[in-house]
Amino acid sequence: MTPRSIVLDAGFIQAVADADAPGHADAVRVYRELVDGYVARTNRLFALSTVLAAHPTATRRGLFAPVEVLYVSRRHRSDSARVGAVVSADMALVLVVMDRAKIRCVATLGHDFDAFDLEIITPAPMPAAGPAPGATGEAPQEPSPTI
Amino acid sequence: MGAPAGSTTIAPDRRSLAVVVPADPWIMVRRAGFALFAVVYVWWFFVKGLIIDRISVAISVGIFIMIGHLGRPVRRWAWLVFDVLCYSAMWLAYEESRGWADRAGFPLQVEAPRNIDRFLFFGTDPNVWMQHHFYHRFTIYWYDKVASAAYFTHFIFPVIALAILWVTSHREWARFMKRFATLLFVACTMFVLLPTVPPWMAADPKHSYQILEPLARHTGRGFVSMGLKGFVNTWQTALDWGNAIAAMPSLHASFALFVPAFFLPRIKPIWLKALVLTFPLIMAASLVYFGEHYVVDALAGWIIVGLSFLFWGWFERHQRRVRATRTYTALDDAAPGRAAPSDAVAGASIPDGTATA
Repeated sequence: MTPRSIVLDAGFIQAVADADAPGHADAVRVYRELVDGYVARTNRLFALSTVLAAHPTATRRGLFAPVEVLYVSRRHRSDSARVGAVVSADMALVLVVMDRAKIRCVATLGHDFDAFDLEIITPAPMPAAGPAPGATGEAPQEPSPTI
Repeated sequence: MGAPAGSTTIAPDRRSLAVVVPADPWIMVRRAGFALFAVVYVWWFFVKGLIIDRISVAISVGIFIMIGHLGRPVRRWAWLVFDVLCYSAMWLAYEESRGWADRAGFPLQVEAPRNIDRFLFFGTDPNVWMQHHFYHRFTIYWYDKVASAAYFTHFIFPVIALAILWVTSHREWARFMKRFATLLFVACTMFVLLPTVPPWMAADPKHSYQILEPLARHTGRGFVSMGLKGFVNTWQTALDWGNAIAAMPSLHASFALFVPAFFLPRIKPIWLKALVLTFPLIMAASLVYFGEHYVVDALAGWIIVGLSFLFWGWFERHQRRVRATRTYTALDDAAPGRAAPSDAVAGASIPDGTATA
């Protein structure tokens, strides 16, 4: 079976790497699952070289060891300037690189990619666990954050 | 496993990337180049013959790959140069090893492979039996053409697979090359340690062995009868280190299994998988029929292919687990108190990992 190629966008990478980042727990949860898929050879994980370069070598070789690098070239940058959609420069670059690498799946915490014909992996709501809220007399729990 | 952590969302009114992202202007150039290459290759095939000498093959593949790299970033070209150097070094080592086999002076295997074949076929020599039953000196049957065509695919099949992988996926090319280089390395080692006389030579009255009934060596007959020929440039003579006593293992049989085996996981229909796997059988039968190899040579080649795939499959799984372990460790260090998914690391129970909608 051919593994599914998935780009981890900058926000997702940042949320995984930074314990204080918003959405860190959700991002880690998704990332663990993606890495499980990597071990099972159902997933290939990618990130742009510009995104990974923002992290120390130890992080790249440790936390992001399964992530392959999509190198950003000068041509990618010049093509991203001609992207026909109202998106940020970083977003345009990701779209160009994904298009050139023929990758159609992205793991993200935001909604930037919603407008495009892509498979988007976002954290799912946490499943409810234990007795129903209030059944034990405790205060109802806040729902887990969903992005 | 519980609910997946991620979900796949599908938003309405989505726009295709092809609409948003400007097209790569070099795509048309590459497509035109490939079309031109195909026309010239086909013309060459029918007019001058199938390119089979290694240097001509390397040149044609080099042109194909360069077309595939037109307009690619400098980094891709740098990889290409590195890959070409590795690839060339591998083939040079292979060619040179055939010369080492002559100089090493290990005892020549003459009767052993014949005896193994006789043991496997209850006292019959398969080469002799096949030629007695199917070979007719003045008549070329359909199976002569099939066998001959299968024989000549050896010179182009692996190279075409390599070239296509090179252009489409560097990672898959590397996976292919690791297995391929291992196969060649083991085969060359065996050529040196176990120089083996092929059946046609063992039967040839010009040599002193004559341990088999005379065999016709009619490899190209069917090919020529179809109006085709092989193209061998004169520079091949300058590199003619060919080792005639490199029968064990059969690289023809090995390559015929190697290429289908590599692409087999991508083929879904069972019937198509079965059909593809008949090719190595046709190749092995052809080699025996032509007197080029014993059956045991083909079997040895297949075993090496299997071992090469097993080793690299294990190694790549191991590498993935090592990388995943580094990730899990980093995540657990960042969030102490959380249990590591050791089952996934050990591979005992690996979830499919796909985030579903």
